[in-house]
Amino acid sequence: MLRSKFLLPLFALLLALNTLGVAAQDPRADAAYKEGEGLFKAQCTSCHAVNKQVVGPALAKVYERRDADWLRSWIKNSQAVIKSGDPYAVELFNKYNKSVMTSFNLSDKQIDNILTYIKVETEVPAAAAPGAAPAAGGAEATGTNSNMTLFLAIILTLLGVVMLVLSRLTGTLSKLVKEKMGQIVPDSIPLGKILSSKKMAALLILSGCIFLGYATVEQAQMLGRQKDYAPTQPIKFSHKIHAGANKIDCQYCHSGASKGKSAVIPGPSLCMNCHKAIKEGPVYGKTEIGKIYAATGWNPDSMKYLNKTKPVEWIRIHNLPDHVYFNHSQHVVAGGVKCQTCHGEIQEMDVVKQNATLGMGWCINCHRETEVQFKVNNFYKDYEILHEKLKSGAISKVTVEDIGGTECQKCHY
Amino acid sequence: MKQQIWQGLEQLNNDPEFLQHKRNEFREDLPLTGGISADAQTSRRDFLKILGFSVTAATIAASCEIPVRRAIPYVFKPEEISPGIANYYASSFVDGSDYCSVLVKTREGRPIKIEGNSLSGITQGGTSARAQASIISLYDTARLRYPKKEGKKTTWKDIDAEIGSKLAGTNGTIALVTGSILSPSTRQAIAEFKNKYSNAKHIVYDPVSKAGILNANERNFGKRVVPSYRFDRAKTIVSFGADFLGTWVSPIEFTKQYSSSRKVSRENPTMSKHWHFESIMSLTGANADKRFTLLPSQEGIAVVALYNELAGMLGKSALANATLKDAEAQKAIKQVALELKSSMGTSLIVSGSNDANVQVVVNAINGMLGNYGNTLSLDRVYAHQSDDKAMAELVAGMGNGSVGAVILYHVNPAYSYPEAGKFMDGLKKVPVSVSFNDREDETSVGVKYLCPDNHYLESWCDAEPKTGFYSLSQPAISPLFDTRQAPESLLTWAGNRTTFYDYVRAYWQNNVFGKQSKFGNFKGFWEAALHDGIFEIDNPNKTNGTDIMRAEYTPTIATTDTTSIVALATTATETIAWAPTVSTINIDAQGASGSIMQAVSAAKGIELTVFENVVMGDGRYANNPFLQETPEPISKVCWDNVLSVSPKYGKEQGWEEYDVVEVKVGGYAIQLPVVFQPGQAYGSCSIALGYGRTKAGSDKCHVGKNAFPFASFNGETFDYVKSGVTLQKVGGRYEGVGGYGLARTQTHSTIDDERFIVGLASLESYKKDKFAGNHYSLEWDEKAKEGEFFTLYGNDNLYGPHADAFNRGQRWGMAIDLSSCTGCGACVPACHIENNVPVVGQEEVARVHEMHWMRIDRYYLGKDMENPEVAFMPMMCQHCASAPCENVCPVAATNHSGEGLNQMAYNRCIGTRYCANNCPYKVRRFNWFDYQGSDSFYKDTIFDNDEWTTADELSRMVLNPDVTVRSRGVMEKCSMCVQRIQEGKLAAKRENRQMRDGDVKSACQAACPANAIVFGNLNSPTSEVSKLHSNERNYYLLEELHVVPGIGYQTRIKNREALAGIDSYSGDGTAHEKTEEKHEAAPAENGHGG
Repeated sequence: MLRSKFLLPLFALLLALNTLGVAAQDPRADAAYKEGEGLFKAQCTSCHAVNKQVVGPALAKVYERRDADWLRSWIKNSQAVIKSGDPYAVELFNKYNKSVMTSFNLSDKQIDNILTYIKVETEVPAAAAPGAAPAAGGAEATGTNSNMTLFLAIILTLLGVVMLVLSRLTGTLSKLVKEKMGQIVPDSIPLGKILSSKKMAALLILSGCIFLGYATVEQAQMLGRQKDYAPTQPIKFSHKIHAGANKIDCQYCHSGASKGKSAVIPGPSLCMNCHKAIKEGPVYGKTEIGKIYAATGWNPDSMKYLNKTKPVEWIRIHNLPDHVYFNHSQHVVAGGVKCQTCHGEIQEMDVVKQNATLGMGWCINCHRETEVQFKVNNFYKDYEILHEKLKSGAISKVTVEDIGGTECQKCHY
Repeated sequence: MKQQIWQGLEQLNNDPEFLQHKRNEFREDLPLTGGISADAQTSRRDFLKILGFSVTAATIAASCEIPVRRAIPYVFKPEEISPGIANYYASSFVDGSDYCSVLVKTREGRPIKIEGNSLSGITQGGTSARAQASIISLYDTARLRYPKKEGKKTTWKDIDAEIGSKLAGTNGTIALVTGSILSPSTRQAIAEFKNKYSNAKHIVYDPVSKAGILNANERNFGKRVVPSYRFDRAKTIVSFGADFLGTWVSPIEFTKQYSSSRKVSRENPTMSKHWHFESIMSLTGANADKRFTLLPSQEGIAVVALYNELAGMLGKSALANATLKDAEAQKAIKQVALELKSSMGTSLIVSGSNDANVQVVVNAINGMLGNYGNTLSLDRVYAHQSDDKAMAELVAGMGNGSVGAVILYHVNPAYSYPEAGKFMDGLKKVPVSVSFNDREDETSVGVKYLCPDNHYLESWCDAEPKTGFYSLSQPAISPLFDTRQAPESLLTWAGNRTTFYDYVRAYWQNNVFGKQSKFGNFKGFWEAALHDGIFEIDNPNKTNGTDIMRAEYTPTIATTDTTSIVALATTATETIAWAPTVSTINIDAQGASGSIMQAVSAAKGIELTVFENVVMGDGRYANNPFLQETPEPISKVCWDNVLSVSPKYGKEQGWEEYDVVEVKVGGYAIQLPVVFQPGQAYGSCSIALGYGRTKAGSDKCHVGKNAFPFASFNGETFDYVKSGVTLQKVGGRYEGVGGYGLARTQTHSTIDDERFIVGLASLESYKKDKFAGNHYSLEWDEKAKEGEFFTLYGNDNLYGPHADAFNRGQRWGMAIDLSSCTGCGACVPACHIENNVPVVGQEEVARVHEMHWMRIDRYYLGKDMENPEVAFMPMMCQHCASAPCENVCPVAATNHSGEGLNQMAYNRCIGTRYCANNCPYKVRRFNWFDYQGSDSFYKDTIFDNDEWTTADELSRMVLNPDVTVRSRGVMEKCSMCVQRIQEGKLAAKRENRQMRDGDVKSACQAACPANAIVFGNLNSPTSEVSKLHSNERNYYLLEELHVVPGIGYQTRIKNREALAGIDSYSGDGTAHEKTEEKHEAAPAENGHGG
């Protein structure tokens, strides 16, 4: 009794502590962290990582190496700090090949938020990547699935064989019985005769026609489509390394995606932002990065442009016919669609391949299923009736189709 | 009662051929012969052969690999270019006497469209057909691609050295022949050139000269200027043959002014009154409130007669006695004088005559009425500086060998000079001849050195179209060819090696920067001016104590440019209440009137006027197919010039329309098809200039006959009027190209004339009854409400079958004010270029295959064949909510969108043409051929189609990348610029805001200099378009069909007495008395704006 009296509050206390602990344990929910994360990914990832040296140093524990004031002035204008003669700054500059860090027009608060992000990333080891577990599970599930299919197929085949044997058995037995009872049993028609009969020929021709027709239509629809197209590009650029391992934001390079029609394939001059410093790659060494230098006319030894440029002729993978109007910013900005939705798990591709058919059916399906950012974007305020219906519960969501997203002249004009 | 309305005489006379065609959308039966499928007679064997070939070809093509496409990014991307996003650059279109401040739309570094610059105080965002089509000249295949010496390619270095030494070595005059120069920097460069070569002489030669006005002002005021005019301030406008809305002095500016003073509403039922006296039916005459036809020689008398009437009323002494032959016109002059007297200081008299004497009398009238300082001032309009006498002297000098060198700068005297032969003979005697012209034209044949100039879209330049109004041109693309700006060439030869960019910039720093106080440093000023494209000094006339120039203009920000615009002129927002200060000026016109009367007495026989028409100008645009195919607004003839005579005269001669008639004056004769032009003065005829080029470029553009030789030099100015003309029929019906006759679109798409088409009312009736001219609309509104209609969808409500679409999101619609539309046709090429609408050529137009999405129907009203009322009606797809075309398409290629658009899916269309047959407005167009090379094989291979002028690689550079290029065999029609709608919606979504009225402007709306077209969201009750749709002047065309169009028209109001038989349409007479009462009570319910 006493014990339980004592234990109950203790338990309650522990519980409370635990809850507090949970709150304290999730620094990633913090607003400062989130803003910092956004800024870091957009502005810093092209040259820095937290736990790895990229163009610039790994930033883990940077807040211990230097104080916040120093860091602020450094981020805002590193050259000024170097010119002021700060010994640490000069040493750092020399250590990293004298590559100049871009000056950022950030507020102190924004810089602090970035530092918060770095601090959290340094100190609190990231929980296993959220996607990893389900992915593994998924793989397992698919594994079981295919085993199951095989198993079922074997059983079905076995059963089939048994059925055949049994039917032959009963057939022979009943024939024997009938013969014994004096009945005349006609010989069974030989298989060859059945196969060469006119009826069979007609059946075969008919089914052949049906099959060919189906195949023609199917293949005709695929004409000009190139799903899984993965050509060899002039430079063996790996999205897996850049977007996957180094987590460079897609729009750092494909800056047009949020602005207009074309997502833009970046010119080699953009590559040079990082590759002035990174001269060797993990897989192909200097050969592939050397191609960027050749394109921009960069001499890595003298660290100067030679004004001899040669454009890189990438092979276009995603092609739409001329009579289709597609606008990236409509989907990325207005629709909030993730790049991966259409382009697949691009951050895992060493060689990019086309993920979707890009056929009209594929477009339309998505337009039917995808919800519009109806309440978020003020643009949709004009759709008064739909808003009323949402309020009254007559409809639960507004899809692209509901606001005319499957009409001809949304894409063809 | 049926409205008396007709488009051409064939319609008025119920010509059987016309009646047959009227019922058919397509004139020709299949199979088509001629053209590309030359004499195709397909037999069964041929069919099988073609079938076999197609199947094999398809199989082979299908088994081929998909071609590898490349994406090649910039190595170093220019900061301002983002692929897929258009950039706009402010610039100035200056060519000859045309001026327009423009924004150039470029995509991926290619200029693809011209928009008006609404910051300009002169053109105020308006454009003209020529300004719109000027972009086509950039990609003209006939342009010279490098400098040439005696027909051989050479380099700039060599040609500079040679010309430099030749010019230095010559003793004779060095004549620099240019058109009017608007650019102050170029003028300075010419001055520098003249400094270097003391024997150099600058001769200004405009093919269509305004020297008459210049000389008159020199005589009266000692200033050789063309004045600037303010039509918006004039309550009474009297024009004697001045086509100020079409071609005279500064048409875009005047159209803006004119239409602003003629916007009528219930609250403000006032408008200017426009009297017009002329011999030819001009665009301006067609818009006039009262128009009278006069013989060209009588125009001078009319001016004197008006002076005398006014002088009598104002107690001044009269001039020589002048009485018009036409009693009605004489009576009108009296009336005009009365009205002018009551609007002293707020009237404007203009004359199109190039006779200085007539202009002196006009000056005297304006002076007598106190108009100077109110509606016109002696600020200089630089676009007209022609010195006809100097040109004539030069030609004489060339003949006698006193000229050592001739430099031709954008002039083509071998074509446009009346005595071209004399000029060319003289040119042979000139040792050094240089041409800056952009092509090897008629003159360049006899020229030694060709130094081609850049196109204006490749150039740095400036302009001062009017005193105190500056304008800049900046390149929107690098020079396509090895060409050089003409003023830079002049500077080079003058020993100044600066680039013209530096030169212009330095000129602005030294001469313009000091004229403002807003910017302290020049860089800021220069960048702002470059951004805006213009710099206008506040009240250039302030020093004279008058405020006449800028005061009331309130430019708005160009909507196509979203970045902030720094308006330089501080008066931009200032609105000065203006009241006329009448101070009369006495001008002695006694001598002038004597000369006029003398000249008139010499006139005899048939009189001929040669004139510049709205599209073709003086012929410099001859190789521009988009202009060639824009129908001349009045005659609706494309790709040709004709001889216009009055219908009465033609019939008296026993001619049929389109008979070939020989026109002969003196020693020059040409043969032209005759057109019976209502409104052409009886006893006169007219021919448009600008046609009959022989070396403009493509042979397809060498159309019509040259009328310049009919002009002559009279000792002071060029004379464009001739008397004693002999006309003689020399052949039967004009054959045209391929025997298809004249390419004239006037009755190509005739809407059923049994029905009510143009709402027209007099201001007088409108004041009494606000539904004047529009009772028709009331009637059908009522019937619609009573559920009288039955459509394919069953009984419907007022909004048709798409009812639920109208209460959510946007529903796009358009309102067109017939009162504002002047019919100038700027919208036609604008629509073509925006929407990749092909140009089809003369033969195809004659076969009724023209592709205009937007056409302007010109209607004549009334029974007076000699001087009918004229109305213009812009016509395009009406985007019917219950569209007849949608019902009949077997593949649903045309259907309705939730936003009220009648949409057309080209790739679904199989070309049955059912939709076109079922369209009551006749606005659907079929691609009979592949006009723009959309699905052709490459050049010089099978299926080659480069006989079309727009199918080559260079011409295709102008295509809008956001709009599909249609292939052969599909239907197309106005899409209400859906690409612009989508762009506007996306911009709103990206900015997280609702759409605003005016976010989206259709191409025709943006091009219109008269603000006649308004586009917007009909679902929003506050949008301008829905307000106009619920206006009492609004009606829907063919409302009785109940197709529920998305385009509303506002009746045309004319400031004159009631028009019998035209003015008010009454359906069955009784019904609308009642309805009108109803609508009086509840005026807001009139329209169906939603």
